[in-house]
Amino acid sequence: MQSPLEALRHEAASLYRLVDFIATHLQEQESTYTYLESTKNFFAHIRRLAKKTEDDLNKTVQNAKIKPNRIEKLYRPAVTIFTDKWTTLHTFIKPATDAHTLSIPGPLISLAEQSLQRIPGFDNCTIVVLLTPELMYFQNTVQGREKLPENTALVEVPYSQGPNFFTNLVVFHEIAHFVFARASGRAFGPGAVIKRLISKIEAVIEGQAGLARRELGGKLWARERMMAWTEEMFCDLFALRVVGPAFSFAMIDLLKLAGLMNDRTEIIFALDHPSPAFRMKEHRALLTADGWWKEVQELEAEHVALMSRLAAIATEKYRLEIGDAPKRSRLVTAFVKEVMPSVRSAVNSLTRGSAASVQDFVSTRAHVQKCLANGIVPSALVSRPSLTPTPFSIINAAYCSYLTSLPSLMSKLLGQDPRVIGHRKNWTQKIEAWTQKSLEDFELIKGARV
Amino acid sequence: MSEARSGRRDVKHQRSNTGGVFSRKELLERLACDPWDQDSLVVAPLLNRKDVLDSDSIDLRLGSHFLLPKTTQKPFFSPDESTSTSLHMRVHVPLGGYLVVPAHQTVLGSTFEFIKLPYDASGEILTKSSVARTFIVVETAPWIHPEYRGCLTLEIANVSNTPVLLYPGRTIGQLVLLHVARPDAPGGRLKGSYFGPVYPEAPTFRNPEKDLRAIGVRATRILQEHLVPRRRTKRTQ
Repeated sequence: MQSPLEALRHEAASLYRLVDFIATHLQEQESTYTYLESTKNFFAHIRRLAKKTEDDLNKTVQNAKIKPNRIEKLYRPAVTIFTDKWTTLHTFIKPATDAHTLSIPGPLISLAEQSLQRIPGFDNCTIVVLLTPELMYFQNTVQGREKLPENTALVEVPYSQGPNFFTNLVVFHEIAHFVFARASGRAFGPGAVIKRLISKIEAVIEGQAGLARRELGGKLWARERMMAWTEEMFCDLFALRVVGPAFSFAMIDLLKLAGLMNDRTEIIFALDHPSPAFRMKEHRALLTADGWWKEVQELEAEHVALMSRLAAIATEKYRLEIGDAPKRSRLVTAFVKEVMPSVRSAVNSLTRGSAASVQDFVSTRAHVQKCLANGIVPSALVSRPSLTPTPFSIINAAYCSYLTSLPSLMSKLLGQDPRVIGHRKNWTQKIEAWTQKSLEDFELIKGARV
Repeated sequence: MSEARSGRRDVKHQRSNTGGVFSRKELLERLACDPWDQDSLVVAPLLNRKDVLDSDSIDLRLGSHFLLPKTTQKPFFSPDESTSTSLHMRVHVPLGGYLVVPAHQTVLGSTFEFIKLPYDASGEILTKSSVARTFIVVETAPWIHPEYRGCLTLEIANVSNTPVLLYPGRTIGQLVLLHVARPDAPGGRLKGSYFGPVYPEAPTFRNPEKDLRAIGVRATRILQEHLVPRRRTKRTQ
């Protein structure tokens, strides 16, 4: 029979091997690929954790040899705690090492990081991208629990969408989740804004007569729904404010790709997401209020028509995912009518310094689109300081070109047929590459002698 | 009147009188045109303009993306539709980093600048003399056609006996423009292949039988990987 000490050594060695593998894996990947600065810092943090765990495991085994009577009550539970921690960390490492600069749009992520850092209290925050097998974007919220850097937003991006530029505008929504989650625990600045929002939800729930506390559809259940919908709408409007209409277009493209936006599902409020119809109604309303809508409403793209159609659906038509008892429908109505004004006001106050400028878009859009229509990177406009667009103006103009002008661009090229979807795919990638190159160029030009 | 319009007028005024290599003045005039103008020269971004513009050329910088030769498991490389990308491994070296090119190896890089040539000019890219003196040779196919646009793919060979470091962002070549005597009318359809790249591009091929059929060759021998005969080993007993 194996002694307790020997069993402990076996268990510790297994974990040591796992941790050692992860540290070596990080080293190998970093010597092969290039990573964004935030990811490099994340890896450095993991390597420090690995070294500490290895040291702790050595100490645990040494102490166990001195005090064998404590093995079962103290030292083995300690190893179990280390193991639990690394079981969770393990799931982040591979998705993070997959997200090197050849598989994600680095300039877009850097731009998102800059937008995040403009929010008061978030100036030292960074974004680490993880490539996930899910066909959906997520903001991972385990960092506090697992001793990951508290100022790091872990954004999960579907691996198939990794290198794409336009779809990855959805990352701004995930960043807003990070803002919401991080601000929720603080009493000042953005925290106070989120706190007011949560208080509003509580008041609305309390005011819902007829909702029992514990039953399905009761107050606790209703509170969870309201919280989830509020956070989602906060994130949508936050991203929309920072990016502009290109975010709505990207969201529509993603929801369609993931099969979440069709005639059957568009009016359904899921347990954790408002209905696509309501989301698009709010998008359109904010774009109208900010002056964007009149600039894009004439686009000959299905996206614009879809937003208008969805915006016209009356609130009474929205349905809950599970059944449609009258009291649950009242919940949707209460959310739409009573909570949403507070969401809009929270977004307004948090995006004051980081909203995309519609004026800049209006004055530079034609030039950016003309560049793209002629197969030229928009950073060619840098020789005209008065026409130098902001990154978000480039992004919005480029998305408009992508939605409407691919056939015109392709018609200038021999052997390229807009009716062949393989050809369209190639030119979509080219427009994305020109857009990304422009962001890189303008970032460089800011600090260079031109 | 806008700077662009006045630049364009000068260009048209002078075109009939010029020939040979573009001078600095002509280069500046073409750079001042609207980017989408048929006469325009685009070099984006043109950093440190005073330093990179010479009397008859523009210095170009090395981009951050490379294609390195891949060691494959396959017994040979056949330039056809299916295998054109199997020869290369993509690498990104950010500004501030470097790429080591081993002795006697060639890599594909690209210019940092996105180029668009006027409809009436051809371009040639030459290795910068200071770079050439380190036994780095840029380009074996240096000719650029009128109206080309994109970052230029560069074949960069280290012909020295020692590894050499390449720093993205440093100047590596010179772009020289030459007038085309009787250019095709602008606005015609451009070739889609190699149009508008921002990274070095792997070559694109059609299958050899397609190319050869065009000149009347009816049968082409195609060597397929799985048909390569295995060497038989003799049993000794």
